[in-house]
Amino acid sequence: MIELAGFSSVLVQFATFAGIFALLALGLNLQWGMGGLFNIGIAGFFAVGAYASAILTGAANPSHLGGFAMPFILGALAAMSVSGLIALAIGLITLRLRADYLAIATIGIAEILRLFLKNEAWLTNGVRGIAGIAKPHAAFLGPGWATLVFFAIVLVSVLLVYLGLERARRSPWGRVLRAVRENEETAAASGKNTVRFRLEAFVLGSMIMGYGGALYAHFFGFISPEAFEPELTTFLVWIMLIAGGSGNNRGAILGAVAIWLVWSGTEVLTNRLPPELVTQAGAIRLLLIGALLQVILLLRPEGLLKERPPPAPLPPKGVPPAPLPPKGVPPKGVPPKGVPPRGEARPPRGPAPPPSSRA
Amino acid sequence: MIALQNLVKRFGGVTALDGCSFEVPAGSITGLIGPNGAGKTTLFNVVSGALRPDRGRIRFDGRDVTGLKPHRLFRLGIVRSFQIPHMLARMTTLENLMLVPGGQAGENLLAVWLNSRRIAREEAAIAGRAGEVLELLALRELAGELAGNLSGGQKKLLELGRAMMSGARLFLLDEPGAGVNPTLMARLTETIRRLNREEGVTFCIIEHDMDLVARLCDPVIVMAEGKVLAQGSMEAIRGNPEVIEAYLGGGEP
Repeated sequence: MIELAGFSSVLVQFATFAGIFALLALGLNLQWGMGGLFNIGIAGFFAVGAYASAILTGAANPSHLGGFAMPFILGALAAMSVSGLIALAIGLITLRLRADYLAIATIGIAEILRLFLKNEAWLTNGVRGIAGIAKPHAAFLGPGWATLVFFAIVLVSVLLVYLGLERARRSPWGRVLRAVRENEETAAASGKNTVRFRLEAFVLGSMIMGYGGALYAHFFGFISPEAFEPELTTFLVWIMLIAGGSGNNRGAILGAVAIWLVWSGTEVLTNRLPPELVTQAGAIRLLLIGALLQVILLLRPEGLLKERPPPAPLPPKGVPPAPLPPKGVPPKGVPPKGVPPRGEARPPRGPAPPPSSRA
Repeated sequence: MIALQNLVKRFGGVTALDGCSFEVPAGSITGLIGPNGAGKTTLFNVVSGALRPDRGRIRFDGRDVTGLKPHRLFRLGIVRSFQIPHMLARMTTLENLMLVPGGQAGENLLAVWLNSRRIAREEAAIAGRAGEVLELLALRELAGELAGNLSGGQKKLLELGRAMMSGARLFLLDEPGAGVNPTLMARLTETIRRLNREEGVTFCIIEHDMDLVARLCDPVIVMAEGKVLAQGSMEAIRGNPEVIEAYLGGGEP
């Protein structure tokens, strides 16, 4: 019985982390998968979110800023706001430039943020990190229930973010964003303010990453600059998205779960090695994940679930076209209803909103 | 409709436009011809806002629009097609067209989340229009196909389709006929004529197919080395010795 409880708690912990990574992958999918924005500073936004929430919700501590003791929800909102504002600042500077500049800027800013968090000890307690970050209502619920409730919060977050992003993807907004990814010149020649769409995607994606950071801080309970080394978050999340299927929101979630399974599974294995090998095994795990990515790219370059254009409402076929269009009014299509387009099971009702949606 | 005054555009040492001035009369189908490297496409890039001229003015309906961004010019009613098709490869043919109409409520993210019904109605209307355009261009069967999988000629037609979805008053078409088979070519010509006659769309068309230009365009403007060499009806142009010189490199016609 105790073993069973231990097993289920491991399972909940695994699933919670997988959920947090799923959020990061969804955020990256919005930026890269849909918008073609090359963000390799995920760790920075993740870290900022984690610290923002940890500082605002924590108890007073003489060694760093704190004592605001705000509820988790405010901490999470602050995490999103700070990440979003930083993304806005970077975006305003770099998104007008070519795509490569964003990559350089994001990797730079992520390192700057990490060094800032490491060195501004009055704010963050520096390398010693912030400990004792509580889960929401932990005192009231007790540790067991708090973990379960937290898992539920993560699960609901993933679901809501997925539904919101999926609706965005199928909407005209998502269509413009994908058009900007495909060919910015065409999008501009079609009257779209491409900078606006890229900026919105970048800021929103970064806010989701910041929220993921807040969840991480409260779940793990302890954060330090070390946790935000780029190889752990940035690298892992990129692999999750590429493996799962860039451009596909479900693929982002699937990739996060699958890669997290491989990542934490290999950790279980390497921890059984003799102590002198454990540290080296950590590097080998990273290598292994890199090799796995190569295999995926070779065998399934589009990822486990490939991007599929959203079902679009094509009106039923009008009068069969004459060899030359008649001189007169163009053939007016019958109002769109009835026959679904080729191979589409979905009724033609606009870029179909997710099942639960209602205005 | 649109008046170009003394446009200059240089790329390093190359002067692509060298004081180019002409006017596209409202309601006309103006042809723009000239040997390769005459600056025709650069001119389109400048007029559509993709490039900023180094000097000179562009007036559209009397309003100075020099240096405006492409999306601003689109809103004023200028649309351009590309010589090399610029389709959105990993999006469907239908999506390529549905992207275009301006001012879609669904392009606002908050509206997407809060007002999905209105957007669904709007989408249905836009899809209806896109369906008509696809039918006209004989692309209807390919509506759900990724645009990257279309043939070269079909991609050219999609370029015209994109312009047709815009509701613009001035179409700048860069070699709309290149690579399109004769049957579709006739359809394309007819579509351009009809849009011109019935919807009052003004055209400025770059084209190398002289028969097409002769059939469709009046006036015709001849460019060479970044300047206007001659303009007038096709008959007048054909007899112009300077034009023959520039185009054919001299000799008797």
